[in-house]
Amino acid sequence: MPELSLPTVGLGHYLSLSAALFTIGMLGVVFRRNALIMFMSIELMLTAVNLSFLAFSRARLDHTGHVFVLFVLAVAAAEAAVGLAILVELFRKRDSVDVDDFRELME
Amino acid sequence: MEALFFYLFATLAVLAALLTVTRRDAVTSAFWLISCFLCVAALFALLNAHFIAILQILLYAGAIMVLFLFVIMFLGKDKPKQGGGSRAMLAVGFLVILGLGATLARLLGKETAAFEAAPASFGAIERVSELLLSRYLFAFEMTGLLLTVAVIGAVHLARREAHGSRGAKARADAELTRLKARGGEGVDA
Repeated sequence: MPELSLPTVGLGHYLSLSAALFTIGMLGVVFRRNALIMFMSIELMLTAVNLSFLAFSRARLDHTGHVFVLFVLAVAAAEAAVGLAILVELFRKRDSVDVDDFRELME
Repeated sequence: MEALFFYLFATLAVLAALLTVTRRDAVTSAFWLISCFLCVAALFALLNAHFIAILQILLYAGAIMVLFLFVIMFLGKDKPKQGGGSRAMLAVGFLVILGLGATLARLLGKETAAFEAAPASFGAIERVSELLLSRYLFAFEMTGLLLTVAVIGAVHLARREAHGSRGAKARADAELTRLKARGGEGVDA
């Protein structure tokens, strides 16, 4: 009976997926002007990095990657809370979430 | 079988991610991001990281995205603008695509060997927590401190000025009387 030849999945596949998700997130940060969507793109990039941590962890059969992902999750939660609070305050002052409206420090 | 699930969830995750960054409406974006996180959580489970997969769903797709949705709906009217980034910004963007695309292509070329079989205990919550509470204990405690600081900071930033200027007090009083009046109407009706 012929073996059903499904391609095997290894570290390279997960790293490629992680790179793809990271790229998409980075494009979101670079191209979008809506601060909320930029924030969400940053979360996407963090998740992509988590995926590569876990893939390396699986490849080396070492749990350190799991621990690091836990820390990244905690930092992401803190970042989202503080970042969104700043955004709410900015919106109260400017009535906008467009980053092009907040550029006094550049001029 | 594992490969099948990997390709299924990987495709869905990339699609959802693309939709996240291209939708104009932030609420639509947030919902696509939630589906992307769910797919990534499935991939975490495929990598034997069951505990992290559950955390991804509870924390990311649950708590953090609810916070996002709440803020998006709180901010409300989001007037979409035409145009956007400058020409320099566009160039930087394409450089980013090129650079990361090249990395991606290189990664695809090598390291395609399958993972070796994991022992049954790999990814068990006991193993992770042993490491977390021994070698990384200090970092773990600092994470708790960081979260406390973040909560205090967020509350302080987002709080309306409760005991600020007299103007703020007057505004608050006016708001209160208005609300009371509306409440009275509600009872009458």
